[in-house]
Amino acid sequence: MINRILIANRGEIACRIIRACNEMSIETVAVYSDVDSDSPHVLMADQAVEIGPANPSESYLNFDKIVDAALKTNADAIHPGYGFLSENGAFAKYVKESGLVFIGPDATTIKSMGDKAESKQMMADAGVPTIPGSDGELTGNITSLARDIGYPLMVKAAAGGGGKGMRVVRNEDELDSSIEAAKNEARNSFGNDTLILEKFLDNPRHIEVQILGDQNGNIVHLYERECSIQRRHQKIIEESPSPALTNKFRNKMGEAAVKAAKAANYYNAGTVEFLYQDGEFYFLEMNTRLQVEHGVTEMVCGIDIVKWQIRIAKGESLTFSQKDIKQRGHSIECRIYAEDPSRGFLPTPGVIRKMILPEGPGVRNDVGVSEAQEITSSYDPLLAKLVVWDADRNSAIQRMDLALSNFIILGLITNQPFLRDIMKNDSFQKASFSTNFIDEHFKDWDFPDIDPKVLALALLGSKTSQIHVSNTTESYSPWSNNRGWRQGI
Amino acid sequence: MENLTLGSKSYMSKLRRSGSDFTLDVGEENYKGTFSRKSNGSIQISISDKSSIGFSEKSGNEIYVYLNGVNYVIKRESGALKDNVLDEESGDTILSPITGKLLDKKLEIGDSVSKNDVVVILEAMKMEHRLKAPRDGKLLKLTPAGIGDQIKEGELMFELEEE
Repeated sequence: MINRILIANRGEIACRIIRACNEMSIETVAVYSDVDSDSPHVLMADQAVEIGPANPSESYLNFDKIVDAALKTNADAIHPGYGFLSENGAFAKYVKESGLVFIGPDATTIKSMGDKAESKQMMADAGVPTIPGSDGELTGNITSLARDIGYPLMVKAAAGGGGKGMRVVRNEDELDSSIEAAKNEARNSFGNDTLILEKFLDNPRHIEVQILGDQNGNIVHLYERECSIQRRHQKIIEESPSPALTNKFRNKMGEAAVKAAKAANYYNAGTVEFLYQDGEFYFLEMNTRLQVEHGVTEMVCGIDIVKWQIRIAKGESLTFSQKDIKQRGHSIECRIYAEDPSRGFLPTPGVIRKMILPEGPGVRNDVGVSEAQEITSSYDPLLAKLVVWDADRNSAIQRMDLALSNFIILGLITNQPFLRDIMKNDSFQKASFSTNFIDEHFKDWDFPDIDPKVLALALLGSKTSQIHVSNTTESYSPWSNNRGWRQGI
Repeated sequence: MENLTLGSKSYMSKLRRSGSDFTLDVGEENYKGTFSRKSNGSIQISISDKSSIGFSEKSGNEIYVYLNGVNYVIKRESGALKDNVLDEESGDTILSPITGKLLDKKLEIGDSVSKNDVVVILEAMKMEHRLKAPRDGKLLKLTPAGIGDQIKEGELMFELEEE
């Protein structure tokens, strides 16, 4: 039985999980670092345990402190959320060995999916398409191997990372010199000049499939999410369904994801990420946890993924099969970040001095911050996720732009105006984009010219904020009732 | 006159008010308008009969404004601050672009640097920021902060000797 869950996370995802627990009448335990003592997730939970200083390795990443907090509060299970310890196989194992339930897949699954080479091999063996390339060290006739893979291709250091020892090869004339250069770079950077060849996708979309599997062998997919709008290889806008796929292709991708999950003996919620280009898709990686953007899938499928994570962890079987799951309408998510899109998306810590969230039909706010809260540089700059649903994509874009325009957040720079510009972009509206979208359309983005009314308001109305950072013990929270139940919402 | 800046743009502005009327000078332009405060803290403002409702708060030299669907962080700069910005732009003095943690110092005072050498590495919100030398030269000043210390936005990180 699971009667009490410790949430080993913070911010919006901890709040999201606490809400699911409240709805299931499961008690919640929050953990927090000293700078988070008044954060919404702490105030929402039934109890909260301080686990150390802001530095994650001494708090949110510390196995012992988290498991001790769970044992001390008699929690039955730990939900890791995303990030932090959510994809740490050793932590999952440690939780289980401590007599607690880990809400996620088995530790061995987490471990094998976390290894890029091992997971790629496992998927290839299971018949899931992977990016074509050389297997292992380059030997024999490299020119003919390169011809088999096809141009453009990528020469990569096997031990590589961070873009070092990587070369894009456009045609056969460039092959020898690129291999030589990559070899030198790899030797200098990693002390190992082993290279591999891989097909280079210059214009891919990032499309992923949500998986749900129980511990009794049933696995279904909840269709796809389109996540191509990224900056610095991190998603900022996601939607479901993907406007790039036909129904036939959508089903094919879903079936491949189920195949992948079966190969990995998967249970609980997970996501199979693919790159998609020119009508072909390739396995990228599997995320063995709840995804930031799970909300858009919940909106179109009508299935609460977090509640199902908990039911699956309890040993319950799925009560629906693949044919029962339908996508209905269209959902879009925008991630509201504390960052400056006019300065290379630099993080912008600060104090939230005013926040008014948009409302209306089909508008959902997943928020982990509140007014008067200081956003420190210790954690991820994600402030809130704004999710909308409407009958079709165009209506959803319109609804999102209106919701963004009613998202009032004062006190720090956010990407709110940037997200609005994306909603108005012609290529975005026509769904004609790849993961290069932001570089192609918004490389030199700047804030809009200021209307004289804005200047007048700045000079007129600017009374000094009543919020003082040192005074955060004040009870400002809308979450302050003790069980987290809120009538009439 | 006050210099209000947003990103790379700046606006020399001055506002005079009498009762619920105001006049606003922005550079050479001149606007007349009216305003009224609402009980929820918002302000209704109109210039040439176009009316909108917004919010405005300030803290230190920053003013936060929400109007017509956009949130703004506007910086208010005195003459002295402006000189600092020019200094930064001259390329010899590098200030921290963020508030965060000092992760590493790659060089010491007196060391020679080549253009694009990494001098200081900062970390904020799980991301690394590498501050590079803007030109060849010699390191004249370097932040005295130790590894792991907190760094504030605008704090001097390093300075190169004059050419």
